[in-house]
Amino acid sequence: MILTKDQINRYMRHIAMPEISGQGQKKILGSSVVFYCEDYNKESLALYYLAASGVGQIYCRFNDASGWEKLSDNLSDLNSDVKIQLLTEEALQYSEGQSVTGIIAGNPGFVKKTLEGIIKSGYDKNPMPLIVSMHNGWNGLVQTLTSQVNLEEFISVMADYEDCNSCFGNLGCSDNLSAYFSGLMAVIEHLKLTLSLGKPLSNALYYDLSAVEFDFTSSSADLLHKLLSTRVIETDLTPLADARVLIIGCGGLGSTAAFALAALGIGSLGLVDFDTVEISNLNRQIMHSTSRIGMPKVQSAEIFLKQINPDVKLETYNTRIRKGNVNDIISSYDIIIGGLDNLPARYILNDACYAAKKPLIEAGALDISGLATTIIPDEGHCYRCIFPETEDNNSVPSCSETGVLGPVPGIMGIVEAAEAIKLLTGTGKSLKNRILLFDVFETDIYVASHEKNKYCELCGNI
Amino acid sequence: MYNDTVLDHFSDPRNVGTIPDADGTGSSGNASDGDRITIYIKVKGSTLIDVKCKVFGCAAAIAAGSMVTLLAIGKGLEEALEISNEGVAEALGGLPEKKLLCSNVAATALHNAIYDYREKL
Repeated sequence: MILTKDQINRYMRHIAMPEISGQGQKKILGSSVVFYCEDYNKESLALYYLAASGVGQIYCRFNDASGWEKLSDNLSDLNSDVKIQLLTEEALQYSEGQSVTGIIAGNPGFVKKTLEGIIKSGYDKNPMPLIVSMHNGWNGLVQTLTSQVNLEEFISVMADYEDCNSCFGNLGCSDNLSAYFSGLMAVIEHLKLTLSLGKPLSNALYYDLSAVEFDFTSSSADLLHKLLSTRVIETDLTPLADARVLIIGCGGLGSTAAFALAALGIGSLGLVDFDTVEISNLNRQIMHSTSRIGMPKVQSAEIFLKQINPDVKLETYNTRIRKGNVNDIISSYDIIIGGLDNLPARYILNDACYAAKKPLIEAGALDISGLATTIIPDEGHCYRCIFPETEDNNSVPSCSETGVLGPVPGIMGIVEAAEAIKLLTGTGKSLKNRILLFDVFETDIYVASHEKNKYCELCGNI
Repeated sequence: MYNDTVLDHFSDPRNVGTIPDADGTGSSGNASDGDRITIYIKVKGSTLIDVKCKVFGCAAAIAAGSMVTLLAIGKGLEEALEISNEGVAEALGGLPEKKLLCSNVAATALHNAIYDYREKL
């Protein structure tokens, strides 16, 4: 067999994608990443997804690696196929023919310093593709540099910002969401390069999570200038400490939504899931691990989240949501985040949140695409405005083994967490009356306007 | 859930692809059920000299697509029409009950490809 039985089960959601199959997963397992970052805690989500996806070798270049054993243990427990090691200056040698990618993750100051260091240490002797995952406040930029020319162009633009240290300042927690987002985009870039699928981001992608705006058509130089010249405003996160958010579904979407909210200090987090951890979850559900296979997902999630932030109050519901229990479950929470994997439950949740007038953040992921929107009852559209229920939706239970690329639900979960934080802090522009549509292979990102449907069977006024 | 034969054919499906100048094409299943397969055949005389498949779906569907191409290549058209859903599942060493529906697309698509060829004649 092309892979071991355990591997076939673990990466089932990747192998089920015809363009990947067992051959593609084998390539992923044979690939390597050198991961450069300053603060490994802030950048850890990317490492979780590199491990979950099965990237065989991860070499870590951290500015300060103290205390990293806990993360290293978690990554090994998530996936023992993956070899993770710290890389010291001297050991920067890789065997010939090994397919290696560099990921540089951090604020602009760190990225600039690292890239300059890479050029100095003789990049031309061992040129590897470099994926830049750069974040600054709610904004950021991701770009894949595949030649010395690209790299030098990039550095020359950054050189204009020599004195602007205030832009590069340490922003504390509100920068985390941006770090998670760009980190996951970087993981996807590595997978695209390894599989020779999709279009690499040779032209930069600029994003603004606060307004949910993206630019991938302006020139890379223009986008870089845009990011570096934007004055970053710190977001006051104190409202989070008293907030109560409920996450329905502890899977691919729920994993990152919960991770992000816990890391940013949410007061109380409710978690709902009826299921137990299976090996095929582990290509993307980073809250769970190999040692917790068989455990109820809410219990596994609790163990994981307590490590991320022991101060978060966790409330778990080991159950399926049904018309009979959903109203009670949602009643004490401020915001509901949907991490569901089926349509009927989405309608149940939508209707309950509408009746209780609670904001619902909804997302979905399949294959290489994602979708997200924010539902504010009566102010904006509801789920039924966008997807009216038809006879077809509920009649045939669909086969639940279609593929999904690991980091895709992860990214949508981060978008969900960002929406929740914007609502709780009263900042930014939410996805109310908008739908975010994401195709990661072609990097086709579209935010469509979509108003409330006046004929909607639930919230329409006609 | 799956035996070794199914896992093997799922992770490393044989004869995947299309035949641009196929003599017959047949499909079965639909995306909303989660499984869809298209079979392409090349016929010489009355023998299937090449069979390719493109499958979108779960492990059982992908494995069935792969297996049906192996069962069909080199067979005469009448023989190939005798390849049944049960035959494919048996060649795979058996499938869980709830997965039989997914694997049934394979033999059906093969038969459709042969009917398509005959219609074109």
